[in-house]
Amino acid sequence: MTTTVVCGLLGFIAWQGGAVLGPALFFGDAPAWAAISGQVPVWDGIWPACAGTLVLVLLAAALALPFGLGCGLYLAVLAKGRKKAFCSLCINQLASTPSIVMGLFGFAMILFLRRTFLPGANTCLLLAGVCLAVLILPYIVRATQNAVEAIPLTQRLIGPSLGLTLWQNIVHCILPQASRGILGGVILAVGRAAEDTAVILLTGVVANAGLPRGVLGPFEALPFTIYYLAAEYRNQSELEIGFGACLVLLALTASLFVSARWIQRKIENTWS
Amino acid sequence: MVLKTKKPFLETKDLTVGFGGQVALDGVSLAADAGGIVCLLGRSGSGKTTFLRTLNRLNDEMGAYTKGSVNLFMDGRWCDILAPRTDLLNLRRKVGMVFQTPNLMPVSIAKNILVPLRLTSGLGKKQCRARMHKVLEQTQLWQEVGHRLDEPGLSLSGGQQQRLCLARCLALEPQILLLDEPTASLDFKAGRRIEELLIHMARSYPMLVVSHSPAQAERLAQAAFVFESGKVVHKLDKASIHRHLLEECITGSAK
Repeated sequence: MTTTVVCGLLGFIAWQGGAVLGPALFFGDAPAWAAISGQVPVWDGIWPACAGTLVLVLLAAALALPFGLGCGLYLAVLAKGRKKAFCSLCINQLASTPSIVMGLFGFAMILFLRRTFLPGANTCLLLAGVCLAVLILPYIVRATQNAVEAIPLTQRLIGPSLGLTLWQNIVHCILPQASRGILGGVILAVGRAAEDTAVILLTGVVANAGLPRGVLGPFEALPFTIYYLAAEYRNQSELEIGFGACLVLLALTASLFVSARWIQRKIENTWS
Repeated sequence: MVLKTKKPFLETKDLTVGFGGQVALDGVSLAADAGGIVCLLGRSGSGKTTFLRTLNRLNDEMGAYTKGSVNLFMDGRWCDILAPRTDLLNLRRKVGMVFQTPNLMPVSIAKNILVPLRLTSGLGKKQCRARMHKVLEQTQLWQEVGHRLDEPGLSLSGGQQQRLCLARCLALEPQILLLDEPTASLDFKAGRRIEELLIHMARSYPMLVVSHSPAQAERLAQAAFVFESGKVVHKLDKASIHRHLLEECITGSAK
């Protein structure tokens, strides 16, 4: 059933957007290499949105991963009793927060900074990355906690029984055994970060910002481009570009999954 | 090192261990001698494994509370391991433990021994490899795995994995060995091989072995303690193990 639905969905998007796949979809009239290197602006292609999404997702993942891993390990290994219950409650609350609320939080934060410490502060890539990181944090925390707690007791006791310190046990015994489960959570989180529109809508995405020039500037993103084209298309070809952008977003997410899997294999090989 | 005389190595007094509201060991007092294997017998849930894990304070990792006193003879003196100042890392390196099911790390055969050894001993690469060679010989694994040390540890058979766990433990040069049903997950042949190894090693290490099998206790043990509902109900020497087991078989409860 699930396979049928997924295949149907992918087939529909491919059927609608497949025709426009080509250099023109990405770069419009601009020469490809000049557009990629940022020498000429791209006005009617989705390349800046692709680059913006990629940078945004990587930034959000880089911000969320250390905290998510740390929090998940704390909940699975160290926290007990009321502390654990309280932390779990906080994580659950965070997981259930709608993304538009997270966007509003980011927007309110910028307003606060403008009125107090940083009058020049504005919505930007960094703010969107931070808000997205908070949004995906619970996925990584829960995945890490579940993966570690799923390790059988005798496996978790390898380190302590050999006289390893807590940190040595985590690095050499627990993480290698939990890496697959954690990666599953990271993949989910990356997918979530790549598709979210509500957060970036209020925190820095701009329709024609071009390639991201730095973390303190505006940026374009594929989900916003898709939303914008789907809501305000003027002719059939613009709608087809929207479907083409959907295909590219799916491909981008898939390539991030493959990269994550590759990194995990590399890490496993290093461990073994 | 060869243990020539029967010297006591373990002494517990009124040892009580609990998990939350549940008491797992209830006032256990016993003394055990080195120079042979000491078996802990009893039904499931009688407290044998909890007792074993008290001796390297592994119960602490599971949130257990412990009362009473436990003294182990290590480094030529008696150590009160329940004392608040006890260095747990050092204790666990000196009191090695092998679990019921082989619990290797998901790394190569060599790294299963080398990683903990490097982390805990501070030895150089060469010395670590020499120690690895020695313990693999000791556990009769060198002939079988010496040519494929870079293969995953999990690719070995159950018996080989258990012997690798034993080798990993021996590499840290423990002074006391604890084995929690080391042959429970193995077939008859692999189990007998581990038993032979243990009998051989008992000349060098004071050893406590948890066992469910009366026949195994009879083959292995110089002495045995029978646990029941968290208490020690019998202390048996080599001669009385057989009689006790016979009585238990006939009457269902030994005197």
